[in-house]
Amino acid sequence: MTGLRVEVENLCKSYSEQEVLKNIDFVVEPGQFVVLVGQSGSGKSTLLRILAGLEQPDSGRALLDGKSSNGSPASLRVMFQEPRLLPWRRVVQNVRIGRRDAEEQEVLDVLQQVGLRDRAREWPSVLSGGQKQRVALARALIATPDLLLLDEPLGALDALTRLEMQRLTEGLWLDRGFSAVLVTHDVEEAILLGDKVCVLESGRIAETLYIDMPRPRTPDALEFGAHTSRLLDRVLGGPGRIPREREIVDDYSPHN
Amino acid sequence: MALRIARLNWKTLAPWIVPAILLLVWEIVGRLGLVSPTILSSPGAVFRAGLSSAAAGELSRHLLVSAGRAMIGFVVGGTIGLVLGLGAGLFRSFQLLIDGPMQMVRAIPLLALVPVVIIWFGIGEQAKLFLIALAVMFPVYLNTFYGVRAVDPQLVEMGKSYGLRGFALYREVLLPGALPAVLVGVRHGLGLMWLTLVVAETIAADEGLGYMAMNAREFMQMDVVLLTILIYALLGKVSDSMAKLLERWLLPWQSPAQRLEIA
Repeated sequence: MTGLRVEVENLCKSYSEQEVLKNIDFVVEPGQFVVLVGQSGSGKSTLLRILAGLEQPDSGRALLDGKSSNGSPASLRVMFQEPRLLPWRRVVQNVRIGRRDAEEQEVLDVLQQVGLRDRAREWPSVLSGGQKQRVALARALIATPDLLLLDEPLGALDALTRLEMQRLTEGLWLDRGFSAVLVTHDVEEAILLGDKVCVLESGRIAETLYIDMPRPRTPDALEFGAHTSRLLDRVLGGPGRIPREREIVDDYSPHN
Repeated sequence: MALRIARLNWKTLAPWIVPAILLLVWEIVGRLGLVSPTILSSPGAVFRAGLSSAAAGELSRHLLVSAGRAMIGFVVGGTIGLVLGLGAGLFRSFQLLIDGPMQMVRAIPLLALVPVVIIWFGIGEQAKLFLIALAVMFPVYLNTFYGVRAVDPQLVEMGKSYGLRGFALYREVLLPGALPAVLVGVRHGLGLMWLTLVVAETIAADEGLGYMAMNAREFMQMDVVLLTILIYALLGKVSDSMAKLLERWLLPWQSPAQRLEIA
């Protein structure tokens, strides 16, 4: 398995007059880990959902290995912000949703990889938030996808669990070599995981940053701080964009 | 440890305290002769009436006839409600076709239909079954319809994205997701089933609990009348317990809190 090549060309999407994505162009090389970072409303989730085939673009194309992405082929798997496990299926059966002809042993093996083999017979309702997302990860990976799309799956987890999940995801990605696209609003997470980080700002890619640091990365590495402040500035609209006092006074108008 | 036992006892005993007190007061009122036995028989008299009726084989015959009517009516009405509810929940066009008429028919009080039913079916078995089936159909229909529609759209999206199509999507996501609501409908339906049975058997019958009560009224046998009322109460309780067992069996993944159970 080598990973899928993703090519997005001139992609536009709007919801009732509101332009969410404006002429997006970007590429994910096979096996690359790309992070889309931006504030809420920047269009990053919409872009991911178009790649997943869950939404259709108004114009432009999203190509997966040269093919149009509508139809969500089995080589592509999505991890959502919520675990989205079926409450009426035990952990094993939930993982099997990822590939329904999987042998019992394969299911247990992938559960082993996410560290939940001994919880295989549980109902999802007794698992913690982090464990549920690990089951969701196992469900996504059992189909050995060539492209994994992650829509802020760690957003709702506590700091420690998050760190653990980041390491786990990175480890499995290194091990298996699929292409990955992660949407997040966490700048540190972006630098921790991304080969390439794209900053989305009101529907455009405002900046692309290539990060060439050895893995696994830690926040105390030398370049980490520089990357972080650069990205944070960009995500927050840059230091020059913070309105000065005069500007605020000028903007105020009682007739608004 | 002692505290745990005490609490366990409290949990099992608590539901019986109020009925026990009522029974005691009732018996005392009877013993003291405060009320004439033809107005209100004492629990002892009701119990004796039950024994003698059971000994004569009358009780079990009427009970079986009534339970049979209730079951057949419930199965017929419940099945129709389930099928229509699934259809309306799953297919938008079927909903447009069926939901309006269903809501209109539902608004008609069942008792208003009694004369119509008698003209159509006479006073035989069919009339009774028709009324019971009709009463059971609506709660099952409504809850099934609601249950299918209320399935978490995020789970449906996940299922589609993970390649579940057609029947697989129904089996894995939509039907199990709707099942808790369907069972709520079944429980409502069971309640209405007994209610309608009483009404149906009071119209005209020559067998069944309702007939037993009407017959006893003719002869001023208050103890037998009370006996039938008591049996209705017991049957209601039994069917509700059966519905709870069904929920536990079909929804093992739900926590007790989700099942809205206290005990």
